[in-house]
Amino acid sequence: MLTAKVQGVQADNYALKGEYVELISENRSSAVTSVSLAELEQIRTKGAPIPASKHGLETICGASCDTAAI
Amino acid sequence: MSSSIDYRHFQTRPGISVVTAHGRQRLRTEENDRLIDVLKRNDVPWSAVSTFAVSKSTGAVTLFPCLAASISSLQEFSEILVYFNRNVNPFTFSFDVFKTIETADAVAEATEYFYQRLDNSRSGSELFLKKLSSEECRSVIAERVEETVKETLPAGAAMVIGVSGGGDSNSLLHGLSRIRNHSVAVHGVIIKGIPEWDLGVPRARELCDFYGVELTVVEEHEVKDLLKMPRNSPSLTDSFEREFKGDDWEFLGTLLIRLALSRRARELNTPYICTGLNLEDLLCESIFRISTGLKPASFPSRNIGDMTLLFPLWLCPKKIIDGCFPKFSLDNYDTRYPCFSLGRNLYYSVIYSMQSQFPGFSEQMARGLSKLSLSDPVTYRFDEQLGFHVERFVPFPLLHKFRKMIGARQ
Repeated sequence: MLTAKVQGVQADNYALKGEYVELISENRSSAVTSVSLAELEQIRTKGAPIPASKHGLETICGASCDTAAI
Repeated sequence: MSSSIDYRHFQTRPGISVVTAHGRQRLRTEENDRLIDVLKRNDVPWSAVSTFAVSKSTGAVTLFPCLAASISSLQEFSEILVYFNRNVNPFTFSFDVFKTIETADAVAEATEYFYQRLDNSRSGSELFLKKLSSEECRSVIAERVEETVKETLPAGAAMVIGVSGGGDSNSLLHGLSRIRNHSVAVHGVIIKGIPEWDLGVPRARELCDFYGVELTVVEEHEVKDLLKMPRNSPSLTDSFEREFKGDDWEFLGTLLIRLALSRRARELNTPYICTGLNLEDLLCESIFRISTGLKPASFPSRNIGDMTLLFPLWLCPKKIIDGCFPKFSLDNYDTRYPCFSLGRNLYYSVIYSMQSQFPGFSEQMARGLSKLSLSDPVTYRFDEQLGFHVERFVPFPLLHKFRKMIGARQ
């Protein structure tokens, strides 16, 4: 039995597909910020690989499909 | 006498042209465009260009990086020249011109798909937008399923397949039912435990009845047994949410399906199990694996311990699968839960972008990865603590969380 909280969140997430949201920004802006080149290069060349699942669950579950297609 | 000059007509936006070794191409622009918007709309990759600006007053050409600049703010320039930094023709694969092919017999369209003929002898490509009826979709799937089954499954073998009740299951069952001269004994399994799956049970029963396939329904408490979870433990979804908040249920789901299919297969004394992973699913998995330093996992057949997992839909695009039984597919979309993992999002997005931009390439990539995967197959080892096969070392923190989720004694 789902807890009420989880049930509520899950119900909201199921319902999302019927709601209009702003997944694409209406405001096409390019704000100015300051990040050092060293940091940007670190991101580009040394960034950790992204696991398929947030917690890397594919290591345990992924023999039949690492990216969880069912 | 007062005079007012409207200077607005002098304030024209510069023309934007891509300069390639094959010639210059003007690009259409719209009000409020930044240069990056112009490039994206015209499928010109920003990472392949250097931009130069031509002064309206002097005609001088200067290097001028301006991807973020609004075109309307560049009024001092008559032209922005977007030099392509490689001598290839970036428009060879353009979607501007394609030929439409109607459905056979002008029947109702269920879907459409871009086919791209890549012609090495002419150094060119030809694009077709094929409108497909449901019958045409089913014939495509049936042909692919028959081809794969005949290559991977001995005649007369029994095979256990995952059935969700959705369009993919229906298409797979339909394909299996159309195999000629190569008997296959199909046994269906559906597992319960989350609302999305539970909703599929009546449809799965209907489908299996229609195709004359026996269906095993694995109740939630039996699913818990697969992971050796106490039957009186919280629900699977609650347990998962508690330990792996923000992660996607599908990751546990794919394991549970494999374990359920394997258990049934052992009962039937067959090593063959089957799921409906399609072209994009396998490309997605492969791109995740090779981009993180892992060799591709085998397909269309994969040996995991004592089981052989088959993917008969491996060369079938989801759009064509969904065209087989559109109503089932729509029902499936409507019960879909969002995916939140960045990785899953990333790898699917990469594949869809590649497939959409170069429709003729995805199948080449799949066939190449399949060949590579089968030439040096991934091997799986039985993990005593988990009770099932895994490929690689499981870090202790992850193992601890997983065991906590299933209520294992620590």
